[in-house]
Amino acid sequence: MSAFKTERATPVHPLVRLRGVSKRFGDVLANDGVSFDVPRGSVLALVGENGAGKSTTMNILSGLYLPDAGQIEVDGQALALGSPKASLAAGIGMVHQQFRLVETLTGFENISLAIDRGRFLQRRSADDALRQQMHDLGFDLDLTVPVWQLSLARRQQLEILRVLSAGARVLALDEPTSVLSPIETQGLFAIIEKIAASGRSVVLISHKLSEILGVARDIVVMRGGRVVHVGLAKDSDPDSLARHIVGDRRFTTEARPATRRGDVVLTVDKLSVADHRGARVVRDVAFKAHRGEVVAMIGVTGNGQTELMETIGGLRKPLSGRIESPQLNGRRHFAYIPAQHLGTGLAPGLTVRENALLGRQFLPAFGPWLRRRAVDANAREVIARFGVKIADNAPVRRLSGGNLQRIVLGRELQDDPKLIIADYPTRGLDVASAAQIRSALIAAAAAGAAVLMSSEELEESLSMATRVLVMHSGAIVADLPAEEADLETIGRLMIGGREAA
Amino acid sequence: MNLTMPFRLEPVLDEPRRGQAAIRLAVGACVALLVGAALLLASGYDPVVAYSALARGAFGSMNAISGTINKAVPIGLCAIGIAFAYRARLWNIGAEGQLYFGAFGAAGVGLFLPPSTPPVVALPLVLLAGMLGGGLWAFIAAALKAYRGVNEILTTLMLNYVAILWVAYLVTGPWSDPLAYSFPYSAPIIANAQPGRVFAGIHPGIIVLVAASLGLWWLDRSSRLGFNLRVAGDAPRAALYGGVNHRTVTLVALTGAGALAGLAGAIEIAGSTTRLQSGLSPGYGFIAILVAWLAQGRPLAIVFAALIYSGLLNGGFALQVSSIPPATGTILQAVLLLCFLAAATFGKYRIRRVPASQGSP
Repeated sequence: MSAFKTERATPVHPLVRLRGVSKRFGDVLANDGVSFDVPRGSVLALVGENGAGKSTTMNILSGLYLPDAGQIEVDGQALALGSPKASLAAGIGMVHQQFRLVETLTGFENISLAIDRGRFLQRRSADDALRQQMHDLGFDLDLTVPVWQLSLARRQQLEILRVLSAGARVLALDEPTSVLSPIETQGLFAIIEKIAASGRSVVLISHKLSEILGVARDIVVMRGGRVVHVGLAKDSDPDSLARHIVGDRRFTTEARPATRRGDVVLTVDKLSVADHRGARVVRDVAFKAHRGEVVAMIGVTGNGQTELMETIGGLRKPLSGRIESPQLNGRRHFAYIPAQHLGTGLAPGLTVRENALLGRQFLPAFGPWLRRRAVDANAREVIARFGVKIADNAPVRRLSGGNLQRIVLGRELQDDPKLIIADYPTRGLDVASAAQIRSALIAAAAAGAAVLMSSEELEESLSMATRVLVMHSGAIVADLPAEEADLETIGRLMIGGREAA
Repeated sequence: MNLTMPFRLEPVLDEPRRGQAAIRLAVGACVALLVGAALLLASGYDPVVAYSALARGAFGSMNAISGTINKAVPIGLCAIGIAFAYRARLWNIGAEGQLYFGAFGAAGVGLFLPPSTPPVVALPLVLLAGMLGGGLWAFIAAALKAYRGVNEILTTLMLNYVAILWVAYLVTGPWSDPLAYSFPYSAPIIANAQPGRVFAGIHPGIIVLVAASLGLWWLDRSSRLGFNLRVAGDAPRAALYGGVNHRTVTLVALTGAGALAGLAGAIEIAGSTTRLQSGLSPGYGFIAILVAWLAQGRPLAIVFAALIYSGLLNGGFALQVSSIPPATGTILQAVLLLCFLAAATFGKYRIRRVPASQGSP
């Protein structure tokens, strides 16, 4: 517990030192020679786009992943890699985005689960050491209340306290402010500063540059699995960091369809949406989409894009506001490619033939008795559209990700829809599948459909889009014609910076 | 935590071939008979005597056969309803109560129609009233599930007892037959609503069972409703995505199941008992749950499973004559289901030896 106080005579070692850590998943090099130090008693921010490799690094540090190469030292001692137990013993504690708390137990019981392992009788109330620690670090928590009665901010505090009680000297927080209001964020940062002041180190993974610059001392930027920048927060400004995060990348605009704006087919007005916890994740969003446009919805994952698309697609009910989209007999009459194919866009237990009908079964062509010939023809066309080689009576869950997406897209693009909502249509796909799907969307727009798409890859969005909407914290912060959108501006807007004057 | 397992159960991904499935079921049945025989031996009875008495009671005479077929009708209809609701992954444990409430509806019409009502009107009216009664009873649970999210397993189960007691109240109180010497019976329904026996003691209900079975088969094969139920049962979010209203699905699936159970109640009254009575069903609605599972929800298999189970029920009565406890039939019903399900489940796995070096990490 008090290991951090017994400093060695020569505290030259950083608390944690990563050297050449690499990890490959299939074809993807998620971490490519990652090296950086976590100094003692300070807050280090690890920033980067989705897929930059931040989470992989943290999972290696906490022993969940075994790296292919590299070393980690804690306090100058080599850490046994790939062992959560060893990482825990070395004092590495991780607070994930999804809390690992038992909701029916009280706060103290949750802590007791972590620290009283092997005790025969569980303790019921906090001891003085724990209370002292809470007081010193500024925790504002009632440990006698069951977790389910606590707000998300309090649960997060409890999670941090639990990790610290288990002896953590390095506390890694994954996107901790994504569930917090601005005031709660201030509270969290106050605690983080006190934790750092006590001699421990905090690693903060975040997308929100403005927040990070306030609390962190060191900044490490990752891109494409590598560390591309290491520096002090006081020497950094948002613009230069945004450049590091986005990098010096080029994209081609040849793919953009010729812009001839047609009629409006989608109107979204003053739309607000809540997530399943009731938090407002889309705020007062308004925009229109015209035929012939490819509108790219750009933003860091978790800023409300998916919820907005789900609401347009009919999977969520809005809190307030208005959506006008093509409807037939009160049902969606446009293409919607949801972010998750298996379980939303496709029913995993049903066959390919049946899934080719999902959402189309109400069309008059099939009738209430689902005319066999029409159903068969429909399945054939859906399968053939993107060249999926599969028997139509195979259960859909056996298909690969690319083929799943081809089935969804093949089905949704039947009957040439006027509007196409595509939520991360190329996520997780191999290069060939992604290219095929991109060109299908571009062709549809060229043929007169309005396409609204989101993507994890900036270049992908910008190479296809005729218009760019940037979302941050549930609001559309910019609506730009593609010609005016450059990577740097958009990178800054995505992470909450202002538009360049 | 560091135990090394030299063997591992692995799921088999391929669908079983028809022959394999049949072998599995045959093995399951043999194991069931052996377990049943062991139980009989342990309680001091000769299994051969017991089994032959059981078989004779079920299929040994024209009388036994017609009784078995007649009892298969309510079991099968309830089971088809249960399988129908399970298309949407809804558990109807309330077929027994729905059967009783359907019988109440059927009797309510059959007792009070003018006796001169022609049979072509009277019988359909009685059957329709039965479906309405059973449907209404299931609708209570369906609406609670659809609008309040109340678990349908509990509501359908508990409503059983309400319906059974309601019928008991009627036949000992307001509807009791003054000529029945205080037996818990109502008066007979009008003669024109009773179809009688068509052939050797078999009443025409079996036609309804076969029709219902074909109906479910058709619904599965080629109907928007069947498709919607399957989607909703497989992936609720995909159903929402595909424009399928989960409330409608819940209401239709459970109410439909109730209507079939209610139809079974009406057929019991019109075809067998001719009147409403306590103990109208010896647990048809519960046996039907076993039958639906045994047949894995397949419409035509349900008819055969219903015949086997009604044979066990019917033969169970005959055991008493050989002074063997009739519970033997009930035990076999349960053991048979367990063995069949075990056979079907184990069939989805294979056992593989894992080399020791690949043991725990």
